[in-house]
Amino acid sequence: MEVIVELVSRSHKPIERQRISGERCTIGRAFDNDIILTEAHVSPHHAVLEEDELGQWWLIDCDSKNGLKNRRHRSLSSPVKVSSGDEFVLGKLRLKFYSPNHPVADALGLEFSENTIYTLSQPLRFALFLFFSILLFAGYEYIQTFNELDLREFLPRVLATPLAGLLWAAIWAVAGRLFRHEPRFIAQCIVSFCYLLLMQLAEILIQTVVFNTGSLWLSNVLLYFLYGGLLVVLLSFNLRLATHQVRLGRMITANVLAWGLIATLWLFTVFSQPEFSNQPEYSGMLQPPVMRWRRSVSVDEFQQAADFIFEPAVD
Amino acid sequence: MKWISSILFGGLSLLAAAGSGAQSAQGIYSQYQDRIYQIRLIELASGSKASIGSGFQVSPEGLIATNYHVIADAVYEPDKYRIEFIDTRGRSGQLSLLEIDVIHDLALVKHSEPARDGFLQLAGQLVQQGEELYSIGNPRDLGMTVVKGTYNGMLEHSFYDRILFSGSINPGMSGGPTLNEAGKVVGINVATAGNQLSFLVPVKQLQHLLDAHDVTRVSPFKERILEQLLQNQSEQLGDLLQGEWPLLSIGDAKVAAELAKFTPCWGGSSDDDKALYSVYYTRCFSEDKLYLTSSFSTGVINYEFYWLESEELDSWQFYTRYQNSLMGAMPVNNTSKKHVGNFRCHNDFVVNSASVDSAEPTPRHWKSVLCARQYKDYPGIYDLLYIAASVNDSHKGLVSHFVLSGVSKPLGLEFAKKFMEHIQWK
Repeated sequence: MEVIVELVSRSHKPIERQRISGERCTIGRAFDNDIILTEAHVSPHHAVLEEDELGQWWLIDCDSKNGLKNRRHRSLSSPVKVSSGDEFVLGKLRLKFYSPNHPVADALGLEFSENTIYTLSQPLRFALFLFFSILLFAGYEYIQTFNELDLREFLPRVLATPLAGLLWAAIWAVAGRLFRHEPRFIAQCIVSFCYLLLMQLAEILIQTVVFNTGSLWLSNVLLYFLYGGLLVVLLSFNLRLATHQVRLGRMITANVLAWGLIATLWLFTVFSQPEFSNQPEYSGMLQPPVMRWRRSVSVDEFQQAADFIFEPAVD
Repeated sequence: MKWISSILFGGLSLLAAAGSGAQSAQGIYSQYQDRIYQIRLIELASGSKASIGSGFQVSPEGLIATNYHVIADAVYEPDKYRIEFIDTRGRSGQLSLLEIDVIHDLALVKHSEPARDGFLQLAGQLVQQGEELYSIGNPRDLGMTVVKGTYNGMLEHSFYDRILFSGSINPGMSGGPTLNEAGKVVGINVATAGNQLSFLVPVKQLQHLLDAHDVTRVSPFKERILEQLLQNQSEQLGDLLQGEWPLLSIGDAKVAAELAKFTPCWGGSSDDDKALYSVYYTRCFSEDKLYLTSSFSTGVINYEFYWLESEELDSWQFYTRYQNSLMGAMPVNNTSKKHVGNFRCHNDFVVNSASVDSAEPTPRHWKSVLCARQYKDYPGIYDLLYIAASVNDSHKGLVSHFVLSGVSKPLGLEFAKKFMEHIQWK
C-alpha cells in the first residue's frame, strides 16, 4: 500500500504531506506511529489505515477517546471505507488520504502582469520604480504650484500620495498574510503606485476633455467611469495577490466593491446638491494653449448656441 | 468717494443727536407733525408689526407718500401683511396701497377714512447747496423725531437722482419727508451710509408719481414692477450701448474704462511677495441696487478685467493659477430661490480679431462662459453673467467679466456682444 497523508488547515489548505509505504499506516500521538499527530485531543494510538485484498482502504478506530469524524464533524462508526481524496477529523486535526495516482489540475500559466510584478519586485528595480514614481508625484504637484516653492509645504503634499499607497499596500499585505500566508508587500506597493500614477493621468485626461468641451456632464461621467474602472483593476490585483479567489470570484468582488463605492459617492453628490444655488455651475478649467484642439466659434455663433440658457429652468 | 448705503430699516447705525437750531426745528415740527405718520406692516398671522417706516400726507384726499421698501413685503405677499399708520397723537388705521415706483423707491398709500387734517406741500424750486433742511421720521420706533441737516447737492455716481443730505437719518425714518425752512417737501428719506451721510429721493420723483397716478388703474403691482424694470433698463443700458466705449490699458490689452458716471471704476494689483506672477485688475460697478423685497434686489451693473502674467512660471503652473480667476464667478444681487431659477450656462471657445498697433488683426481665442437665470415673477427678465479668459499665450492672459442683473434677453445679448468685441490688443 502506498498512501499520501495530508494534514490540512480548517480552511482545507494543505499544511504538510507524508508518503507512507507498507502493509498498514498507524496514526496517533505516540511516537511509534507512522503518522505522529501532536495534538491533545488525538489518542496515543488513534487509528490505523489498512488495505484489504481487493485494494480498498479502510480506516479503523483503535478505541480512541474522541473517535473518527468526517469533514462535517459527524461521528463515523469504524471501520470506515476510504477513497482517495477523503478528509477526516481526528481530535482537532484534519487529515486527507490520497493514492499516488490521484489526479491533479493542469498547471496555470503565469500572467504577464504577474511576471511584471515579479520582475519589478527585485530590490534594485523596486527602488528605481519607487524613485521614479515619487518623481512623477512630485512633478504632478509641481505643475500645480504657482507661488515660490516652499519645501515645508511642498514635500508633505508630494509625499502624501505615496504614503497613502504604502498604507493601502500594507493593509493588503496583512490580508495576504492571513489568507495566503504570504504578505507580498512589495508587489502590493507596485500595484498601488501604478494605480495612483494612472489616477493622476486620468485626472489630466479628464481636465483636457473638460477644457475642450466645457461639459460638466461629460466631466462627471468620465470621472465616475474612469475612477471606477481603475478601482476595479486595483482591487482585482490586490485580491489576486492576497487571496486564493479564482478569476471569476475576484472579478465579482472587485466590481461589486468598486462600483458600490462609486455609486455611493454619486448618490451622495446627487442628494447633497442644493435645490437652489446662487452660484452658476460652469467649468472654469483652463490648460495651456497646446492642449486646445476644439475650434473657436464667432461671437454670433456663440450667442446663438447660448440661446437655451434663457429658456425657463426645469424645476 | 465710495459709500455704502443701507436701507434705513436694516443695519445698525448709531443714534445721532438732532443737531442744533432747535427753535427752527421746533417750529417745523410743531407745525407739521400732524401730517406725518409712522407706517407699519402688520403680519396678519401674529397680529404684530413686522417692519416700520415713516410717511406723510400729500393731498387732502388722504394720499400718503412713503418708500416702496417700507411696504415692499405687502406687495409681494399681500395675504400675509396689512399696512397701518399711527399718527403723532397715537391714532391708528388701515392703509391701502395705490401706486408704487420701484426705480425711485416710492409708494403711495391711502387712508381708510379720508379727509383728515392737513397735508404737506411739495417744494417747486431747487434748493441751494448748504441750505438747511429738516428731516422727520420715527427712527427705530423711538418716537417721531426731527433732524436738522444740510443739502449737499445730488449724488454724482448714481444713475438715479439722489440728494446727499448731511444729517442723521436712521432706520425707521424711511419714507418720512425732508422739509425746507418754508415747510415744503424737498425730498423723501431713503437711505444712509452712516456718519451723517444720508440720501433722499428728490421730490420731483414724487411729483411724477402723483401726476402719473391713475385711480382707475387695476393692474397687479408685479405687472407695474415689470414695466418699470423694463423701462428703466432700456434707459440705463441704452446709454451704455451708445457709441464707442472709452478704453484703458491693462497688460497687453485695452478694455472698457468708466462707461458712465454711475459705473465708477477702481483698480489695483496683487502684492503677494511669494507669488511668481503678477495680477492687475480694474473693476467697475454701479452702487444702484434696486430693492424689490428684503430678499431680492436687482439693477446692478458690474464689469471687471484681470490681467495675469508670469515670466517665471511654466505654462502648466501659470494656467493652474490662471484658471482660478475664471472659476467661481458670482452674481452680485441679493436673491433667493423664491425669486429666481438656477443659472444655466453655455461654455465654448470664441474667436475674435482686434488689434491696436499692428495693422493686421490677429485672431484672439477666448474660453467664454455665458450664464442666465430667469426671474420667477418677471418673465423675460434675467440675471446675466459672462466670464471669459484669453487662451492665446502660455504665460499671460486677460479675464473679462460682467454681471447685469435684471436685464431682458435682447438688451443683455446686445451688451454681451459689444462687451465680447470691444477689447483691443497691443
